Amino acid sequence: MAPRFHSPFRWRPVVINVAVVSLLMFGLSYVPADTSLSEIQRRGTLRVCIPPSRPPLVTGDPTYPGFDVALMLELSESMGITLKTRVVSAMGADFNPRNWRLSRSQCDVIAGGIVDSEETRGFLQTLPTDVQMGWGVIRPNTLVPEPRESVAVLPAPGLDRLALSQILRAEKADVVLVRDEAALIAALTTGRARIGLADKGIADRLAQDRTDLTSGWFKAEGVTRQSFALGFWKGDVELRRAFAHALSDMDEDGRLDDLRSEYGLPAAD
Amino acid sequence: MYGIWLREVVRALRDRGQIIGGVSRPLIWLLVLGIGLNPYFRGEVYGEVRVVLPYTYVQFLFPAVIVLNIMYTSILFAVSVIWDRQFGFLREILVSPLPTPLILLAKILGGSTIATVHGSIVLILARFADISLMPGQIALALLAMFCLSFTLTAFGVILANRVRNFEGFGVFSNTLILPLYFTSSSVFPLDPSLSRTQSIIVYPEWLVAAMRINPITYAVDFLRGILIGFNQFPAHIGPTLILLLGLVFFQVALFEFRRT
Amino acid sequence: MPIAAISVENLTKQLGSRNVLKGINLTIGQGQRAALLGPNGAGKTTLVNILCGLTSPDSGKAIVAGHDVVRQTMVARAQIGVVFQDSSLDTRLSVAENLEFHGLVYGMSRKARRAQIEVMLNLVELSDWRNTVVRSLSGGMKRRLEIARALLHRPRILFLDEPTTGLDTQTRDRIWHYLDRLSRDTGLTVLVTTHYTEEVEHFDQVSIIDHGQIIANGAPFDLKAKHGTTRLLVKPRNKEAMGRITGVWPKAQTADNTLSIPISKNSEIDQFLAAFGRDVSSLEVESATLASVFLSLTGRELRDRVERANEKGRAS
Repeated sequence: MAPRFHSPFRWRPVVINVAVVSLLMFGLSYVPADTSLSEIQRRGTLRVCIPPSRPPLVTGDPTYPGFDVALMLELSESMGITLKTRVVSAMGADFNPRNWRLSRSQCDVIAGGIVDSEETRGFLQTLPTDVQMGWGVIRPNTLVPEPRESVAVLPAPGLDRLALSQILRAEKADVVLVRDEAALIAALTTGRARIGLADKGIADRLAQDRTDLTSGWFKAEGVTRQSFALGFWKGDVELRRAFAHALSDMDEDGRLDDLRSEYGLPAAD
Repeated sequence: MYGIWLREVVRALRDRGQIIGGVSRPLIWLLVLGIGLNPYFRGEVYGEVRVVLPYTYVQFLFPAVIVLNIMYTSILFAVSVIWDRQFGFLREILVSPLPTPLILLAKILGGSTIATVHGSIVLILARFADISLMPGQIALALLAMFCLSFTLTAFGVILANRVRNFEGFGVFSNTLILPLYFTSSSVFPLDPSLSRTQSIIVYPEWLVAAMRINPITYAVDFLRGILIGFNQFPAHIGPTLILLLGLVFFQVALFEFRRT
Repeated sequence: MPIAAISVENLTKQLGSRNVLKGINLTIGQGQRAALLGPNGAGKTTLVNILCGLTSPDSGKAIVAGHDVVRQTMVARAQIGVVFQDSSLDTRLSVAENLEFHGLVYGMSRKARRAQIEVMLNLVELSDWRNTVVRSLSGGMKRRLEIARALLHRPRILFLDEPTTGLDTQTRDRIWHYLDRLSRDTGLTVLVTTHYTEEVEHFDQVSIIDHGQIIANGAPFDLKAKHGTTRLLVKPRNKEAMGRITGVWPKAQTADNTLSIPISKNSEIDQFLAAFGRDVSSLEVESATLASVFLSLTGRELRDRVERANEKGRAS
């Protein structure tokens, strides 16, 4: 083999320059972008705004506080921060977030039914919790596929009833509105309705209790599912980043799944 | 051809001054400006923010800073063209048995490579901007950056053919780059993101018009589309415009290069 | 008669409103050392630029190494090496990098580049400086590097545009010596443009160019024999002596306190000495030079005095 010919072009300085610069940039990319995290660590407490009730995310029951609250508790504990919940009654009463009048002086994080949508992200930074909600269907095992000529609907807070009724009307379905879960089951078992529509979480829970019923996502044109998230103030990059870390840790060791099934929440697919 | 490319790349990346420039710009823009302006763009009350965008300010700024770094490097690369002419090196290349289009192409590719490197330097700061990137996104971004660099370098060469000395070029390019950058919907969203009427009400119409005719707007938009998935214009405009202008600029540059 | 390395027919070129070249005809044989001698602005550089394919002629034909420079520019260029009047090195690259770049651009193989770079660095004695950035080299070293670069790709023809500015005698001699050997061994043709007559005295062919035309062409000896004048340079002892001499030799020119007397035959020297031997403090015979050939052909000095004075000032 002939001795290697070294090109007289000296690449060393080039490589050194690029390497030094890359390292510098990489190092600098770890500088904190804001004081949101350090402020809270200094204070030792994290204030989270929640609605009075938004099952199964928030229940109001201290022993069974709801998925979002339990999640926040676990996350802040892993970060060594005490969690302070602040119940904002407007959050439950009004669908328009503008009327909640939430501000930084009240809370650092907003939980309990923050929908991860483009619109929300216009105002908040979101941290998706892998929880989805939407219309679920519950039907007798024997019915495949789902006939929609008679439908029992159990209205659920936060789910779009308007879109649903438009679809059902377009399909000329016979709609029965039911007041509660028992009425829904009754409608199905008496044959008053062929299928039932309810919050997916509720539908799953009901189907679990009974062997003759199955549940699933209600899939139809125009029906959307909502993904939920924790809401952080815009500009609180560091705080959100810390939570994202803790959350992915929980996801990895399975604690997130446990929590989700404890509250009967469907896994996002 | 490889030789010409190699020379440009080695020369430029060995030059400490140029590298420092390439580093300090994104640092000033992202770290200093991004952190500095954060309180003005951050959310205080739910439902009330100054800019309604589904991103943080730094995320929004990030692709624009890449474009800025590429703009500076590409257009200032033309100084090397003036340099070659002034110091006679151009003749060494011109008497070589290489056809003129290849010489120009190699030179512009050299410049584009350097500008892409400078753009990638910014990309390393993605973590700071809270942007997580998939390998596919990075590859696409690099490709887009290279195309943009090519177009801008060709543009710089055209400028260099008009300006004969370094001083003139420095002033000229600065007065060109910064206005182009600021009216490109880069630093503040001159942005019809929610509705067209909103942007025109918030900003005077002449500024919005300037933003609309500025090609850099679409380059920034293109890169935003890749990096943070946000487009304020139809996504195909950016790449089409960049490629088209790249071809046109190259032809013009070639025409002028041949004439001298 | 060897095959022509360069052949130029009726070449004309207009730059702006000025006719720079007015019908140049020139043939230079292979392996010859030829010079284009003429004052600044005579059209030397334009002619070389056309031969390198940098400028295209308005009319006429130029064949370099068997290739038409207009129609086969690229092929012709591969056969030539050029050293420009002003430096055309990349001052930010190192010595070796400049050479490597040249080798790459001329499509030399890796092996050829490696070998030739060594040969050339040794030739111009820059081996110890190979990794020095050109910017920090002295003027003479840059010049040497430039010549090395022009020869790197083994061209068949070498153009040197005013090459010796800034070179010390030793290096100059060495380079000429090497070029001599190359033209002997490989048939390298060298074309030099210059307005220094001294260094082209030993050339094979000298073409005198003025106002865009070649006004004389031939070996230096022949040119001098045909157009040259021998001069007698004498210093008269005093004013009266000077008056007496100019009375007899009306053609004598006065510069400072020296008289310059053109003579056509050697016997005139004896005549002069016989008549004025006691009136002069010194006497020098200046045999015919190419400068005097130029003077007698155009009636002008090749270089004006101001320019000479400038050069003296620069040299000191």
